[in-house]
Amino acid sequence: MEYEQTQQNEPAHRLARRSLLAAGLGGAAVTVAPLLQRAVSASTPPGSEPPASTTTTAPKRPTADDVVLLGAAQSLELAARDLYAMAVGNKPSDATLAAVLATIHDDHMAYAQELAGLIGRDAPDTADAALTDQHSSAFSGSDTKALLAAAATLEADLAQTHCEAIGQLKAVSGARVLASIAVVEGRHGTVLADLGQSKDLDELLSPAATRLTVKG
Amino acid sequence: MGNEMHTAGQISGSQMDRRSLFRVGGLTVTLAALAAACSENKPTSLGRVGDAPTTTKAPDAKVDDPTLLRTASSISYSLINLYATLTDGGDLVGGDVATILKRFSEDHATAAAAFEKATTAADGVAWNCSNPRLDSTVIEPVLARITKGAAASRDSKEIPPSDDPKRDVLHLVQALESMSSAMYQQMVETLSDPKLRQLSIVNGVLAARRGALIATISNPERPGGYIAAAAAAPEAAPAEATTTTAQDIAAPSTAAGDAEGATPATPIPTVSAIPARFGQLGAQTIIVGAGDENGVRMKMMIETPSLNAYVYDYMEPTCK
Repeated sequence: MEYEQTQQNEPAHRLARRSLLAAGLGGAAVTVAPLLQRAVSASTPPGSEPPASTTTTAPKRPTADDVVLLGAAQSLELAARDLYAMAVGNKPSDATLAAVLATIHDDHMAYAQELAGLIGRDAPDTADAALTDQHSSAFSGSDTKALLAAAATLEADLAQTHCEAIGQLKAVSGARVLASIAVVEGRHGTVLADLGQSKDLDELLSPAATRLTVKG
Repeated sequence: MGNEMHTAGQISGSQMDRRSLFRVGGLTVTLAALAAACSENKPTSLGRVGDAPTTTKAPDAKVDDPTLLRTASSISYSLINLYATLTDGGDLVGGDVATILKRFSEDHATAAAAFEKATTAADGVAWNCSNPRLDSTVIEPVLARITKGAAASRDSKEIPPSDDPKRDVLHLVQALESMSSAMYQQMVETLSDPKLRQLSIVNGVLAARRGALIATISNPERPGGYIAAAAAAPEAAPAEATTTTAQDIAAPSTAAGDAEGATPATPIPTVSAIPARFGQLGAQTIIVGAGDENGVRMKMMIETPSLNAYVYDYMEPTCK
């Protein structure tokens, strides 16, 4: 008797538990639904707010056109390194001149290495012969005044070339490297002009410069 | 048996009560969640305690091309104003340096005009005033420390004007030109248009040359005035250390500056025209002015302009 009564009660228990579970799930669904709606609305610009201004993100890695420009810059830096190697090889008697030439030589070598690291196996790794030929007599000769004048011109031309390349580069990575090189090459030029005893503020601060081109 | 029946009946009644409790509890939770989801729960303002004044929301600050270009022109105007102060009378700079600073002013005027034009072309409002942040946090306090010193306060004695104003002015100008060069260099990364990047770096090179020229004047040592590596290299091997006894330690110091009982002032670092192999973006540090009662001079970190020094589009010019 007791057993039967218990048996009769079983479906009622199950029904109550189901009701409870259903109520709980329903409550959870009601709770979660607004959260989902908020998440969706967060990723969608709300129509009531002013539209966000569009931004153009520059590529991080050099593009194919960038690689050509950066490769040319590396050839020029290698040529500058070779030219200063000639001047340092002459062993200038003036200790200050020798120290400055050696420092600038090392700087140009570092610039070429930095550019090679940026463009990888596309780096030409060869010095621009035309630039080397243009200045080799001054850098390998014994006339200090001619050497300093040629070196100051070279630094101004290199800085100018890098500045113009920055105006053409698409990727920021290449522009960043060339910018950090160009400002120091400007300083090189002022030091070389000062070493040459120049008092002309145009020569010291804003000398005439030409954009260099790489042939071949 | 009857006893068992009674117990079973009690259990059954008890289970029914618990189920009711669960049912009511579940419904309560459901309704509470429903009510919470439907209600607006975003606070309209931060909680405030006590009688505090109302706050004003800061305007939205966009770092875009016009903001950067306005900042560039503002820095040039700050330096033009500084050079006018330095060269208009007084004895802060010598004749040769005054000539150089006038040339610097002309270069900055050219740069400012170029950046104002670029700002307008980029749909911004050109800025033709100095940079408020640079003026108030760097130029004005440093100039005051050089020319006037500092008044006595409750905690410190009066500090006299600089013991060498010309030295300090050269260091200030060198640091500011190097800072502006770093700013132009940095803007190559932040400006969106390659042509604007070119405009920026062209002026960065010119500013670097100005900084280099002042460094060669400020530091007449050679090659130390040209290259930082030489300036940092020891000129001679350090002298052998002498044996120290307890009596020596107790003896009065013979360091420079102590001869008359004065504390030696903070040493001033030298500068070089080529401070590093690559252009640096970090702060320029200068040490200027006379030392305080402990010999400590004013040390100023001149940061490359960034978020707190930009001239945003909501800012209104304060100059006439």
